[in-house]
Amino acid sequence: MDSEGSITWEYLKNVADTLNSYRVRALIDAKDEIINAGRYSEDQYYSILFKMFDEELLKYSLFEFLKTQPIANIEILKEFSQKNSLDIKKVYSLLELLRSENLIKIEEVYDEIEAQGEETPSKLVFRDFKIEVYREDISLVKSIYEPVEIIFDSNICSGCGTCAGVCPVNCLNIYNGFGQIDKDKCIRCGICYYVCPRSYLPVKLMNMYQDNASKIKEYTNIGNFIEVYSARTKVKEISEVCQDGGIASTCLYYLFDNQKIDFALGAKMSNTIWRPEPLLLQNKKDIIQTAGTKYVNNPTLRILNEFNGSNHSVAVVGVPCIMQSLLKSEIYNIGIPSLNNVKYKIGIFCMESFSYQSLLKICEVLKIAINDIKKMDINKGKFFVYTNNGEESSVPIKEISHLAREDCEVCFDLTSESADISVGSIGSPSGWNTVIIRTETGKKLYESLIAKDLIESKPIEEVKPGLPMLQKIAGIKKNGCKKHINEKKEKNLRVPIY
Amino acid sequence: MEAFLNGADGVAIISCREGECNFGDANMNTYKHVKFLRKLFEHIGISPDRIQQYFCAAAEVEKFVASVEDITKKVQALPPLPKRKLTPN
Ligand code: SF4
Ligand code: SF4
Ligand code: SF4
Repeated sequence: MDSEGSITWEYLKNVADTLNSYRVRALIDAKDEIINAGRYSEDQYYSILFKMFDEELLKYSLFEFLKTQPIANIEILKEFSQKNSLDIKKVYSLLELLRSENLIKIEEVYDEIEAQGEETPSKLVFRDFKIEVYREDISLVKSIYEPVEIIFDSNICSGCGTCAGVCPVNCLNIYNGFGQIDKDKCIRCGICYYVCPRSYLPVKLMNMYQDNASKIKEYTNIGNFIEVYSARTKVKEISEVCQDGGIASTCLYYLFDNQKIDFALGAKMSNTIWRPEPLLLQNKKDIIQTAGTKYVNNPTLRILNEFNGSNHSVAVVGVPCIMQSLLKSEIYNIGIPSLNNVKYKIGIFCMESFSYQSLLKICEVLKIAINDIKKMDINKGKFFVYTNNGEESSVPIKEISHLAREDCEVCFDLTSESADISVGSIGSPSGWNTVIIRTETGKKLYESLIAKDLIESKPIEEVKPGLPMLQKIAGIKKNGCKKHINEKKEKNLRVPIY
Repeated sequence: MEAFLNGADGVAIISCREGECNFGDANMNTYKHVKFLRKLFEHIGISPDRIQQYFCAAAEVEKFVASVEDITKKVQALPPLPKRKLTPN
């Protein structure tokens, strides 16, 4: 709005509604607590508050607009997007929010295309939305924004640490898959719930944002992507310590070396061996500390606030739930300074993670002391452990999967579908990484690695077992997730809204 | 905001002086809200002059009058805000 002249009464009404929004109010009322907590400066406080206000205002404007329509469908959404000069994706994101907040219901309408002989079976093609709008006083709808305690108490927390990294009064802690809240300090602003990938996650919308695929137009078990390669590093310092192909580390190496980033976030071992902790990397020397897969859950994004300061360029290396959280925050941007600094999302594959306690149990099964372990690896359906004096033991994954975190059972993503570039070992021969390029940012980064002669790269089609294996295992994870979510629903337990 | 929705072009909040509030520190809490609203008005393109808080004690009649005159002057300098369209019923 640039001048008072263009303001309408309806606009003022939406402003008033937004001011009554529970989340905006919580932030206004707790200004002193937030400033005193020292995490955000007064300027940052106001910019978060006004960004949140603007987003809420847009959301309520869409809601009021839908209310005035006899039929609310895609046409109407397009009309709203034109009227307000908004990208249609933005309108969808507001729509998703309204749905998550129980203010609207969306039904998807499909056309059935009849079978054309054996080869092309009948299929359903999306036609339109049918949107049903809540018409009573919205203040009667219970706010969904609660502290994320309800997420970790329901055993569906991914352990990503985002909530703890952004909480304006710093009253959350996430450590190796467990959460803790200081209720006396909490101002119930709901920001943690807003950024959490296990409260609600607009998966369809995220796929829309990731849909850059030049070759494959359809969403697959490994998400949307542009290209897939098998690759390994040529950087000696990295190949000496890396688990497989060392590509994630090489990305950071390039980014630091060419001043593309000021910091990176990753995981390193803490003083307790095999218990990882988040690490803020400041230069390429720090990369060595992060090498190797950790298997125990690490709340990488817990330390987001460490670069709240001025404008930085940051890369994050993390598991799929961490990438989901970052993409969600791009879509629902409320101006958290640290999140806005993230410029590169480097995802790694993750089948499941363990708590430190379960890892101790696995060691018991294998009769190995945890301090003797040099390396762990999941491969060919087995969990391998290599000791410092060169011994190797293994146990079939099936026998230990009950020890994995229950929280990870509701996770559908193996390959970091929300990342710019995803790296893992499944699909490539030993000593190599499978690399999935998903966005233009990821593509440019990968091309630079090749141009600077930092990696050796082949199309995935040239290696065995290749993509079919990766697609298959990703499918297993997706099916497992569906099954577990249904089981939880049957027991009336909380599940993430995907 | 209610006042603006019902047709006001400006709102003056006249309260007792700091430390003299009969209701604890309600006056200072309001002050915080007013300060925020003024910032918000600026943010969304409405003149912050449309909302002001004045502090004066019960006996300070002149000050009260001056406050009212002050906001009237400021708001009169601004164009009227949009009013709710009357619906026929
Ligand atoms: S725990 Fe969540 S609701 Fe409570 S203050 Fe922190 S971010 Fe806000
Ligand atoms: S999933 Fe992440 S953001 Fe959500 S509660 Fe767990 S650690 Fe916090
Ligand atoms: S399985 Fe999913 S939720 Fe669990 S650590 Fe891996 S990516 Fe995160």
